[in-house]
Amino acid sequence: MVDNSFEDKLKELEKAVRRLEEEELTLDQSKILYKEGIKLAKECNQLLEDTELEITELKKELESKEF
Amino acid sequence: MTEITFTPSELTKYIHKKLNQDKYLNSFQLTGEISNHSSPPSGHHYFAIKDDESLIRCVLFRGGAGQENLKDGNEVIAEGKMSIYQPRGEIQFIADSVKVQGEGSLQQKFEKLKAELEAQGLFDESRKRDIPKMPKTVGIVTSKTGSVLQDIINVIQRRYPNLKLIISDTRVQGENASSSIVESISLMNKLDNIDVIILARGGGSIEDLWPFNEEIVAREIFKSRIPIISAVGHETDFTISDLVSDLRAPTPSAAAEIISPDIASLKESINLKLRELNLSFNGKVENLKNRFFLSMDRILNFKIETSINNLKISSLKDNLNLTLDVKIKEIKFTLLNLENSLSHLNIDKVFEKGFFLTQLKSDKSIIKDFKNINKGDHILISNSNETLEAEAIKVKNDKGE
Repeated sequence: MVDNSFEDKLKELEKAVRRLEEEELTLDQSKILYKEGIKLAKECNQLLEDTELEITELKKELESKEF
Repeated sequence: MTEITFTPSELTKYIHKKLNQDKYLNSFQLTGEISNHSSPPSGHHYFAIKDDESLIRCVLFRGGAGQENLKDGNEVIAEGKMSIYQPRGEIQFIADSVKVQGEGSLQQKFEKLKAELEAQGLFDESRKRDIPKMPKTVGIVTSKTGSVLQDIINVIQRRYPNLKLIISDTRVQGENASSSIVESISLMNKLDNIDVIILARGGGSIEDLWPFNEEIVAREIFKSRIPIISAVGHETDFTISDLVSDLRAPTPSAAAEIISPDIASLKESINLKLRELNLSFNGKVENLKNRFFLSMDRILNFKIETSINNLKISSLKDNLNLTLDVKIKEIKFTLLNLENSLSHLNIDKVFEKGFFLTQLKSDKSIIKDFKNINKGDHILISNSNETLEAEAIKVKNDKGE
């Protein structure tokens, strides 16, 4: 789920809008894209609401094994 | 009148003491042009350092550093203190070392390293990588205790808290700072999730910032797999690190802004996308609807037109039939009449009844009355196939005349 980040979702959302605008889609296909877009936008907003700065300190003595 | 009176020796001693106590004059650098250099057998060097307006007498005692730089006309930096030569009451600068200006100075070192690294392609624009616009994880190489780190955190907290910061506490000043910086960058490069590194330090003198001008730091930045933003000192400070890095930010806060998109404008752009989504979907549906209705219209219109046309055709046909009928009847009637008339005219039937056609033989004129008939005229009396020639003997009218 880490990979499914805000940035990815925003990109997906942008892609959905572009496809909807540009491509000749059937009504069903459009409906699926539209629903997908709405869902992504909601999730994006949610991620921005919930987000919290995460700060970690790198311990030089431990090298990078902690991470 | 003042009450203080000095003898020359008292005065020179007093000045000597004052000079020694002075915060600046006790140890400083004097820079200017060498003139009047002399080196008597004693091994000491006497000279002056001057600029356009003033001249200071100087001495570099035997064994002092940089004697080779003492040539008239050389621009030098001499390190030492002010003193007074008591036998003559002259103040003079006692130099510990003399360097030709620029040489060995930090500025000189900077320029030299800059030229070298530039020649080796370390500053090439072509190798600079793009800084990710929306990084997920940011490495920060700076001191944990300085205000710089807090400034960076504050900016990111305000603009885009959707981030992971990995901080490597680093010495950014003084001894070992350069190796500490190198170590931090190298450690960050061993992690595989860091999208961009901010190398940061607050403002300071050229000496304070010096670690960022060291060759090992430059080479480590060059080697870094992860793009690096250099944010060292104030906007006016330029370091070698700035030049090698993928991007130079004028200040640490500016670096933080560069890697953190504004959350408010992000929300705005999501809403914008949402509006676009609605717009194009509704547009699509509207379009389909219109096409549907248009088609329906056309189908309906076609049907109506067809039936109207059919109606027209059948009524035309009826009309035509009617007219034709009438015409035909008329024609038939006329024909019948004609037939009738013709049958009346049939001459044979007249002949059958005993009538003949009489003609005057001389001019073949049909005789309708006898006014012009005279005795002796030849008369032809015919039916359909026979003719009798007769001669008028006597013409009688009703009165018998």
